[in-house]
Amino acid sequence: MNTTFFIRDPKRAKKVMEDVEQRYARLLASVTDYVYTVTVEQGQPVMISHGAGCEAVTGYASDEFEADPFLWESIIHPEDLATLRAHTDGVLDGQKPPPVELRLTHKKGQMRWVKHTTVAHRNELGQVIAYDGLVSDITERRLIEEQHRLGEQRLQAIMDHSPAIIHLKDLQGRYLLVNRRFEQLFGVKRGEVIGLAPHDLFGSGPADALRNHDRQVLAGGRPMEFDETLPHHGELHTYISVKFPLLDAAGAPYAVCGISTDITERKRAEEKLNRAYHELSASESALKTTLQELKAANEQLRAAQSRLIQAAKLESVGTLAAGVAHEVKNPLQIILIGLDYLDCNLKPGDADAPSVLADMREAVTRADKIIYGLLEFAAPGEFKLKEEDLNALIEQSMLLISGQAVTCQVEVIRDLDPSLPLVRIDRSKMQQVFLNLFINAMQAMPRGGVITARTRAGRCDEGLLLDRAAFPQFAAGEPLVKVEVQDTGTGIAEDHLGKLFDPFFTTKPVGVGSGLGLSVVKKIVDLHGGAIDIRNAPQRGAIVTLVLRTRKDKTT
Amino acid sequence: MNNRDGRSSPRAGGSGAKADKKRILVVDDEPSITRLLKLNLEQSGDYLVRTENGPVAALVAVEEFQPDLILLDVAMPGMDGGELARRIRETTPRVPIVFLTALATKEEVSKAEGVIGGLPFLAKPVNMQEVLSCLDKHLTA
Repeated sequence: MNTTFFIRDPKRAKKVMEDVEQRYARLLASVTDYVYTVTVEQGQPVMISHGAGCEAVTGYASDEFEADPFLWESIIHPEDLATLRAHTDGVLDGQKPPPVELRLTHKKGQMRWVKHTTVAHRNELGQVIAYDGLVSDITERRLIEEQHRLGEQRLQAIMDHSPAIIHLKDLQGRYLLVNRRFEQLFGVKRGEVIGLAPHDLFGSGPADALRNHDRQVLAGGRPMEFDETLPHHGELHTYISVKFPLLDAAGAPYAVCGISTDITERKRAEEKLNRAYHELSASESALKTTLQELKAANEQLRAAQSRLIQAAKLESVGTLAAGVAHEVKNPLQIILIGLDYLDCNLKPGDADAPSVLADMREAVTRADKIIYGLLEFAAPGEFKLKEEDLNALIEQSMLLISGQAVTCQVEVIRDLDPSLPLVRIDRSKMQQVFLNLFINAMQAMPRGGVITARTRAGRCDEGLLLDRAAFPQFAAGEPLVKVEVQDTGTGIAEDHLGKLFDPFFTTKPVGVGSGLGLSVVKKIVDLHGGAIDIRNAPQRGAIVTLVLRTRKDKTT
Repeated sequence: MNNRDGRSSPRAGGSGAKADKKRILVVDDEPSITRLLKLNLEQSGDYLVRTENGPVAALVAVEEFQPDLILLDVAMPGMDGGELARRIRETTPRVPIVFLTALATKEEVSKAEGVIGGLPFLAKPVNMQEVLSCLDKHLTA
């Protein structure tokens, strides 16, 4: 305090001095702090007076201090004694040492923290003549500080043992606090990081994102969760970060705390799992495809098997037929020339006998036709294959049935592809095929109708579309010719469709068909390397489809 | 079983009244066929018919009967018609031979024909009209 008084009246001055001293004494008496005064002569302490507060601070009364000049130093904690002495020496030396904090033992035995402050008094020459010591009890404050320190330690310990990265940043985005995990992962020391920003550590890319997140948290004033990416040891790690603002007593944010958990491994595992899942579903669909292919292959095998069985059946029927035919021919011969003999030796007047004989002769002719058909089927004979114009052959076959067609009121429509290539066939055998098909069609239309003969050429599955279930034997891209014979007749009963090519299968009245026509047709088509299919047309009637291979590179 | 009746003479050039009748040898392993052919042919009055039902007897009959034409079944047990025809030709090269065959298709017949080369045939069942016109054709040739 540097207040200077200028008082001229000595009386009045004395009064003022007295007032000041009284006020000072009252002040001293009212403070709980311990105040002592040391009188100094020749740089050495010569007398100490102890203020009233000494009892409150140390437990010892002032007379106890006066009785024992060593009492003061004896209650000072031995470790703090040097500090105290250095301080005192400084004061005696005329310096102004800063206050020191010391431990002392209270008379009741507790340890107390005190703050020791000294103020020197000097004479006109500037020599120290006395100094006052102020000893304040700061135990409470030290305890609080200690607790605070423990709390900080506890917090740091918890933070340091967390597997997550924990960091605290001020409003400018500078690190206030980081944990050990942070140090380990980013290879930095705590002391180096404090005061730095993420930009100094991670480069602008990742740091921009972090700053952006911090700002969102500060703006929102509430905890938020982010995916964050940070590089460490040369690779990017993914973190899930919980960030929240720290608020001061007034509720204003002063820092952002982040707790970041490394989920890189988890993410990788997830990705792996995802990949595995996708691979699994891919292989599952591949399995499904394979299964379908297997099923399809199985179906084809079945179809092939049934075709083989059918072929074997036809073969055995053929072999049997040839043997039977020869055996039947001789009896027919006997009957026929027997009839000739009877014809010439009829008793006159027998009116019915000639017609009986005629019926018998007719029966022999019919039986002979069947046998001829059987033999044709069993051994169609040699093929004379030549490049032929199928359209012309169809025209010619139509001409042969045209008379019958007029009689049956059947109209014949030609829908022939003019660009049809030549096809290598046995002309007479193939004519037999077409005649058979036309006659069948006419017989399916007893009340008249329309026969349409259609030809088309093209590559299988490209220019020429086939029902691949019915014609599995042709390869895609193979050059083919397709002939369709369609009628508007009664169609075919579903349960007959599978038997159409069986020898002796017939739906015609007795004597009209031998049941061999279509089986011979099929045999001829098979021998040409072709295929034939019969099904009901969408609206009505039946449609016969015949497919033959054409030679490659030979289109006319 | 041989089936010789009284009208067949052992040697050629029999009685004058029937000298213009053509001598036909019918060989088939079916007796009913040979018998009916004989009945039908002789009924016409133009033919003298001898029938045989086996290949060996047929060879003997060719020697004894000196036929103007032989109707020969292609398929017989013991010796097929082709072989029999070849053996007949060894002793009697000029006699016309017509095959009777139950092998129905023309291709098959032409194969059988191939064995002895270009011989005509009648496919069973054949009626008498066809037989007669065939005989006419080959006897006058």
